[in-house]
Amino acid sequence: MNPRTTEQWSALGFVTPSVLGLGLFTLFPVGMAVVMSFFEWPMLGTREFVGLENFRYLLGEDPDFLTALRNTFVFTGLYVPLNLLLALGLAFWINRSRWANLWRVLFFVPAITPMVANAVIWKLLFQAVGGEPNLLADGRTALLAVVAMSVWQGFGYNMIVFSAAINEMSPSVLEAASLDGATGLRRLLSVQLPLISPALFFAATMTMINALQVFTQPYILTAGGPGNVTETLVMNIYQAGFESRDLGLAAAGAWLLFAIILGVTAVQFLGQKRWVHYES
Amino acid sequence: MRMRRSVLPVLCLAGMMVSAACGGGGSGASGGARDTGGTVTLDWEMWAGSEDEKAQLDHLAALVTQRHPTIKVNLRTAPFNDYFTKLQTEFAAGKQPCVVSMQSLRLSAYADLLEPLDGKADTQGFAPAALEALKLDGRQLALPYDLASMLLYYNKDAFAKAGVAEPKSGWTVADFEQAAKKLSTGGKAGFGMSFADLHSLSLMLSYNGAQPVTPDVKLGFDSQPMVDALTWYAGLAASKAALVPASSSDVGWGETQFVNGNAMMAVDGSWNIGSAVKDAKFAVGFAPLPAGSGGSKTYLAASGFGVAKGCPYPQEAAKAVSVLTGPDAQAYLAGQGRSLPSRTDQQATYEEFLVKQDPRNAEAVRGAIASLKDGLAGGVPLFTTKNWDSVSKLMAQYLIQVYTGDQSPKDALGTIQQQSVRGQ
Repeated sequence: MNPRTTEQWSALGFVTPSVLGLGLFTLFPVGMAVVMSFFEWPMLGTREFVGLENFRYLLGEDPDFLTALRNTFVFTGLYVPLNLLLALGLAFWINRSRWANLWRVLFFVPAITPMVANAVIWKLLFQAVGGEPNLLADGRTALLAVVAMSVWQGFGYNMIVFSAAINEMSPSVLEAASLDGATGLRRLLSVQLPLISPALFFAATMTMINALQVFTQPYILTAGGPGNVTETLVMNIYQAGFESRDLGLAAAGAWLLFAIILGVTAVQFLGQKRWVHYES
Repeated sequence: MRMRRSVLPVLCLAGMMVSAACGGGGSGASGGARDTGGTVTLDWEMWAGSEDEKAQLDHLAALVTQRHPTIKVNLRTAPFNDYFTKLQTEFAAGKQPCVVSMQSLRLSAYADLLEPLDGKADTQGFAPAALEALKLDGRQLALPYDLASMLLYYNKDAFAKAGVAEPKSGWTVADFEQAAKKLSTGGKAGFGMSFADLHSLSLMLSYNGAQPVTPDVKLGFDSQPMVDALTWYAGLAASKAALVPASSSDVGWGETQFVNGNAMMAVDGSWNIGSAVKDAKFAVGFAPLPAGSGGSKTYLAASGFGVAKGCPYPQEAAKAVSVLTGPDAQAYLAGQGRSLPSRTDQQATYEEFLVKQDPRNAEAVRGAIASLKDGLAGGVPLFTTKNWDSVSKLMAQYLIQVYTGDQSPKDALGTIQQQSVRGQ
């Protein structure tokens, strides 16, 4: 056997386990979900091919789907900018602090504690400080309360990413900038932010994807209520699958969510050419 | 050549995916097996929250083999909150147990999956209400092991302090309202509200007989009596006599606030008599629900065991169910303080257990059992639709808006009705 063939066989040996894993646990379920979305597929009982009926129902008749879509976008629109601004601000501040590592650990704690525990504690807090009705029971404030809790829970991760990027900023570039007279806001906007723009892009993309998939926080804090003001897309999918036991409808909803996330992420990737600078 | 080499693993992968997809169907004969000696082993699925509960259930399983040496029962458990999710997944995958534990409120979702037991098991000795609760369309889908009604739990200390007469049999809705208002002082409320089905709907039933599900199991949330009943119930919050749940995810609100001492009255099920007496830091009293226009009423709930359709040994499974709900099994469970037995002869054992548990509160416990028996007399089973899980969720989301005054009772009930009709 020539060495080239041997190499190919060993490569095959190395790659097979992960390809099998990917196929069995990712590609196959994804493919199944496509198939299921075209069926009326009750968890118990007989299946029936219905074509695009599930999609038509979700977009046309379902009393909650479009509301859930709107709520998800409102949540994302509030959560992502707040999260990034807070993480960025604190990362810059921490970097100048004597206790940098202590702050990093403290702010990172919410990101690594289980989300369910965080949400339950916040729920008790809202009850303790709430007037009548409390923030979670009032339709005008419930979604804002969910956003507030989520930002607290989520900014620590981005802060660590930004903090690392700030540490990596090339001192010679910063020095050159200050010799050229760039200080304060000018230095931040024209030098520092472009230097860490790959980290900003990464954080913005991942945070956006997570935000569009929000589930645990509203599920624990408000269960979608009052009314349907905090019902999100993933909650709608969960409800269709595990409460209404309509797996076809759930699969169709999941595909719509996937398409939305794909679209939003694609726009972000196209946009990055304009503002993300990679050192090359 | 190179091309073919790279195609090979893809083909292998595709082959594996197909075999994995086809392998999921199972053989269809799930939930039991017969060994060469002729002994049948049946799977039994039941909810259990602790090792103690599991040990109790294992004892019941052993009773079956004692009575029928050729039948063995293999117990599988899941925590109550996961039990029905697990069960429906097992049914969907064809891996269901032969003996299925069932709750009356969930019965309709599983009606087509359970073997009717009429004529296959002896129904003598059960309280009629318990049998009735596990019956649908005239078919006995499971045999009950317990029976529960809803009661008014009240804080005896708070009543004495406020100088309000304690509730007793014959207490009316007007008495209840007055007491709730008088007891609402110093940041505490007279009553803890709820949007959980049995807890809120029972009080509305007692108020004016309003029922959200018609006798032929159709949803009727938007009926006029329901609107009137909800208007009254929500009025308790408007007049500051009751605590509104903090959010629509607070399903156990009223009873939790009661035990914590923040609400002086709450509606809760008879299954919590023992734990309320033990956990509350005050004397707990029990009474039938306040009587409205048609006297005191409550919904009843029962749990029991049924036989799954497709079980390969239905006769053996029916025999197992008969033992699991038989007099010996119920006497044993009552002696462990599990819940009120569905067999009338064994009910006294349960009362004695509760009294022995906490002799200082013997009076409260005897009162509770008396109220419970009152409740059974005026009780009706809460029949539910197939999509009751979704209905419960909608109740949580929309009733809270009525309690906080954001939506009118008529609009909220209309929304619940309109959104649930499709899946009933």
